[in-house]
Amino acid sequence: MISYIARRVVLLPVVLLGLSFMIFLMMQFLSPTQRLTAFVSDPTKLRGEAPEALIEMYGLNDSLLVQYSRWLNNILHGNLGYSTTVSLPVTQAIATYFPATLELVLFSIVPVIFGGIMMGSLAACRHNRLIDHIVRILAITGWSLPTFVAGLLALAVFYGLLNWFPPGRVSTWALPIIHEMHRYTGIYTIDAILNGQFRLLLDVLRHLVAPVATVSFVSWALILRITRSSMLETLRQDYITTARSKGLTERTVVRRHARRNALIPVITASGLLMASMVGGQVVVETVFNYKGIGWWATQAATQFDFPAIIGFALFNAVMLVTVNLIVDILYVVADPRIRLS
Amino acid sequence: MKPRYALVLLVLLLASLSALGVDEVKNPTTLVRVGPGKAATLDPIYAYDAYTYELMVQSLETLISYNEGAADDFIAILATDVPSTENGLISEDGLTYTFPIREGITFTNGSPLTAEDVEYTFERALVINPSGGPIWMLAEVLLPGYTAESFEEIDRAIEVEDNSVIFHLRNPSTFFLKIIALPFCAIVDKETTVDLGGWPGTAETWQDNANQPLEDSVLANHIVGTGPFLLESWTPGVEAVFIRNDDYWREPAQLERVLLYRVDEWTTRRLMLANGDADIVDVPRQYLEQTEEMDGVRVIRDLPLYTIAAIFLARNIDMTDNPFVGTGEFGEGIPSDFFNSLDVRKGFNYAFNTEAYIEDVYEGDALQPASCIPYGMAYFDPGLEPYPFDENLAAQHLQSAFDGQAWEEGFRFTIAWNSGETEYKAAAEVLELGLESLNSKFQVDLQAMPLATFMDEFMAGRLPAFVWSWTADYLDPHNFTQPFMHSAGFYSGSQNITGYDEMVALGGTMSDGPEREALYKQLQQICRDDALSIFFAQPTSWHVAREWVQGWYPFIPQWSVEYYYPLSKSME
Repeated sequence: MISYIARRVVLLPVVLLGLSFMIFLMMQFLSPTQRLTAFVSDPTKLRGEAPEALIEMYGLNDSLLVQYSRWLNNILHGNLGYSTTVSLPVTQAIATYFPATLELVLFSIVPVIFGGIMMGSLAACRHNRLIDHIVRILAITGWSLPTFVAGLLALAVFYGLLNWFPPGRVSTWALPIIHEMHRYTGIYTIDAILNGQFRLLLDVLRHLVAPVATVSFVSWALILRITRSSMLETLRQDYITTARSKGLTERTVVRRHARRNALIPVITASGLLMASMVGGQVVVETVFNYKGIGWWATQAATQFDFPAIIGFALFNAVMLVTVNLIVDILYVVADPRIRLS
Repeated sequence: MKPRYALVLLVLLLASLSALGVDEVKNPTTLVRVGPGKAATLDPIYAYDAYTYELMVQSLETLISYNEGAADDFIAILATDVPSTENGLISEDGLTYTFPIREGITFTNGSPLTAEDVEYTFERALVINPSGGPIWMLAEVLLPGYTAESFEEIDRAIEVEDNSVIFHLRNPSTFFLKIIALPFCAIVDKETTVDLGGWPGTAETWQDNANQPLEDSVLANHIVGTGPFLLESWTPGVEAVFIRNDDYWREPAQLERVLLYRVDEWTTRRLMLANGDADIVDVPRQYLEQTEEMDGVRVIRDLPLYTIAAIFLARNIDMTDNPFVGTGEFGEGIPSDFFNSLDVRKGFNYAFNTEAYIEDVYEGDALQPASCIPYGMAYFDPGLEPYPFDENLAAQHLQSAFDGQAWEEGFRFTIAWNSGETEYKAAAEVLELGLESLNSKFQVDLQAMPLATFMDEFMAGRLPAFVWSWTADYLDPHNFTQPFMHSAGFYSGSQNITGYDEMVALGGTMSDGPEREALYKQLQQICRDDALSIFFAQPTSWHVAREWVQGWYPFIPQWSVEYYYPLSKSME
């Protein structure tokens, strides 16, 4: 397994190099003036020779290879560039915005994946009974509802009407605490615990409820439906009939014999879902004013913030490869017959 | 644990969590300001938008400031007096401005404010003078060109005498004080800037620092000023937290803390305002009416906005591979000189139903300008009549254009605008409707473009007609005649307008008085009679806050910048 992991890790730079070159190539379809917009907040404020000076300053007229080698050289010196969208170096922007997304994803995993597996198993075990119908209707509703509608509804009810769960990551009173405490991870729940700030912890949790609920509601249908169909198939297998005929309780049959075998496709789907979630929850982050990496990437893309776009793409690629690796390893755990080699 | 107990526990937990924030949002010493914009930097010389200005003016101060948003009235801040010819601080020839610096003021790091700091601030601005930044305004009056050719040019423009700073202008300028009062002229601490690795203030190093990109600025994330608030923390693109400067040289602010939040989604902002979690909120125009109906919210409408929106018509269009001019001939296109015709331009002006447009798009909250100089600006000519919507006159002019060829054969061209600007789209549609209803052979294509593409086409001079608007950099008519009428102006350059350069340039260098007034009257008349563009709206601005926010006034007349110093929160 170690050599498998090493091979994957060694391949990563090659993937990143190819990806970055592809993005560079795509950017060349835009003229230097088009790419200039990344550096200008209001074009009407450009005077005299300013556009030409800016194009010259950022080397936008240089050939693709010159621009690419310059960028690569910067990368090798640990400089991913400067994101004009948020006025931060790209590495610092990732470090600022990623923890928020990661926190949201970590809290959403439990309801999305484990909740999905539980509900899917339940629906399969109660096939075509009331509980199965209810679960399916809920899943379809969540899957069909656009995320921004679900988010705005959650916001309107839980904040506008009940004033339970406000938007943002923390309340205004908590901001000074955030800035004064030592930020070990940027994940506020963990940092609050490590700093012994339990009032802050409660506040952070309070702000997480609505976005996590929204992410869960719109995302769990996938896991739920895959688990359900996989379980239905597994429950029809001969070894399940054998287990039942041995006199095992239904609970033992489901938990010990059926669910584990039904998990392989669920792990694949969960991995992909996780990878896409880590890439940012653009709509949820926007609606709940939960500034994460997805929000930043969207802002960067709409403003042709090239260093940010490429930085995000590379970061996302690393995340994707890492999550896929974890999924591969989990296969072995779930089914010892699988060998990574 | 039984499920029902778990449920009861969950409800109790939620109730206790929801109780946490109630007291905090009513905190009378904390103000929460919410909007969709982001500040770009903490370095004043790169600041060129309202949000960046807003971040800046709380901690940094200028020599003088606009007096509660008045366009022509100033108060001394870091200077002891506002220069005028009467007090002798402006020389008789209008070329020398003296600012005596207030003594006993310290920066937040404890350094005393000196005339050297002021000199350094302005010299640094002119040395770096970043492309696309605001320093061109200073360069325009202090240097021979928009950028310095040598350090001597900068050095001779600003000097220190005793505890005063003296500016030597290239030409008399009636708007120099209006520029000096803007936030990009805020005074920075020389010692801090140099210690951080910024320009050391020497002649030998000036070229190494010229046109420095924002990311290399040592002040981009560092602010040391003399203002009423200290920037406690700033997460770019997310939030800024200010705390009161208790050692402020004037009376300390009434608010202890101000939070500036970026919230992109309007619904979220609206709910924050309704719940009292936000005190001052940016509201899109289309939601003003529903905001006015909210309890405890105050909406102030009809604030002056020095913005002119227009449809620009380009002359001598570059026809090479130009997709916006059809075939390039009457019938299915337009010739290169289509908008050189005064009859065409006048016909277009008469075909635009401005009244209906303003009613539909701005709910009546806009004025129809007659020329490029907005209402409220010095030398604005109230006697000048805008073009009325008149289909007969429009038809008459278009029938006369090109000896009737345009009318007989018809034409086709594209009006472009930056996508996402719904007001521009509506303007293009109004003109399309006005023209196509005159003659079935008239075809107007509409095209929204992403900003990058729009800019590309605009700068290449390929757009025959485009919709855009101009907001004043400083409140002087020169700031409007230059971009709208000068052959090198931002819009007029792209429109290939020529013939008025001398008059426009003269207006920028004349002293205030009857002669300048006569000149601008003449320029406005030309602008209107030559139908340079279709000036269709001068919108007004508005301000939305909770009723408990007291002491508000517009801080800078042409920018929506909130100034927290005079604000307090109470129900009185």
